Amino acid sequence: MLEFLQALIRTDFMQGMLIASLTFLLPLHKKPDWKRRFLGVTAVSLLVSFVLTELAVAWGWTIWTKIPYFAAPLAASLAVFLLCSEGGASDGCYGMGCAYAAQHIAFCVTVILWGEQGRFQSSPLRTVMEWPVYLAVFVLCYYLFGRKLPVDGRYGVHWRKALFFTGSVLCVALALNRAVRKAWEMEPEERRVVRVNVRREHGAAFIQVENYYNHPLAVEQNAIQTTKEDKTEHGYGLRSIQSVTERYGGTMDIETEQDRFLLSILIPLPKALT
Amino acid sequence: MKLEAAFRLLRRNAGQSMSLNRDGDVFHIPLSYLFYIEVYGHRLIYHSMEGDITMSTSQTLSMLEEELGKHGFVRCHKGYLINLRYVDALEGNSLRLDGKELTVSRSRRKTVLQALLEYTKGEKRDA
Repeated sequence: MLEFLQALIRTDFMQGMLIASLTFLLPLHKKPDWKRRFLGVTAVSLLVSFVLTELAVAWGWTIWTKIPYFAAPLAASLAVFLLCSEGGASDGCYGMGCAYAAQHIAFCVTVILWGEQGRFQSSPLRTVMEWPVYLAVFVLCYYLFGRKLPVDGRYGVHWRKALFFTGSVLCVALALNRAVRKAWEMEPEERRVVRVNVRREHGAAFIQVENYYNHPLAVEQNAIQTTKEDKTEHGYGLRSIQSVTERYGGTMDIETEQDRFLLSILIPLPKALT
Repeated sequence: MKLEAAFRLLRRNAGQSMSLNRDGDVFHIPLSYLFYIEVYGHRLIYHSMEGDITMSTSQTLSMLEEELGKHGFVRCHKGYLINLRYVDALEGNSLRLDGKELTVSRSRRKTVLQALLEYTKGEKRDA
């Protein structure tokens, strides 16, 4: 029984459930003050992550493999939220929570089904399984809580806005997750760097993530082809980012320069936001 | 939004320009002043910051597309060649440019998006 519980926590299942339930079940939505709600969500997520990381250390798991994984989606959510939500604060908050929770839960389900390895290895079945989970959580959250969130005290969350935020948050989270994972293997230490740039340009979210590679890469402009040719270098990460980007009506490309890797993403904002 | 537009104005390079000859009157338009070029019957309408100029030339939009492609112009519809600099929004099958809604044909949407990404990357590098 104890082993089972440990496995559950290790696979992020608990994290996902906790963050999801805290984000949406705490009576935060009853306070119309979005700042409090936002801070509450962030604080609670951080706290949960922290406690679980501590537990992981206590049980002898490596802390460093866990921390970037926690930090990446959160930092990404914050960046997108702060840079792209003009006036749509509650929506940003809502989308952030939603995406965060959905990502965690989806990861958990896949890790439970395929084990710890499953998270890092690409498997077609996995990608197929993951999406219904993301969408189910999103739809569920929307129908359960979306209508209760007041925007300017008058109307509910616009689904297009929420969808946009969910999409761009997921993109940044995935891109960062991937870059952080790559950067963490880098030697020497000063090359363990990930540069992130999120901006609003031409009525779209413009996201760039840059990191170093251990060895020079010969990559064509076309991302899909490289994914197919070289599964070890471009495994699950890029394909996932691509599918999320396209699902939300955007586009991405990759650029390699000797040992540097630059990923650029553009997701058009919905008209409701521009 | 306004700040973004102001920066865009600042960044415009008056470097490249094009000359239009209409019945002896020659117009010199910097490419950065052009919003988009529209096909109207057998004529071309140049929508620019200085107003609209209608031209009846033998030039086709495809020829212009080839010429201006490397200066940040892209064809979003068979009747429009747009300056990516002024794209304000893009959703579904339309985009907003200079306060107007222009149609983006389904087959060209992907190209336009990629061109916009490429252009935005360029802007970032120049800035």
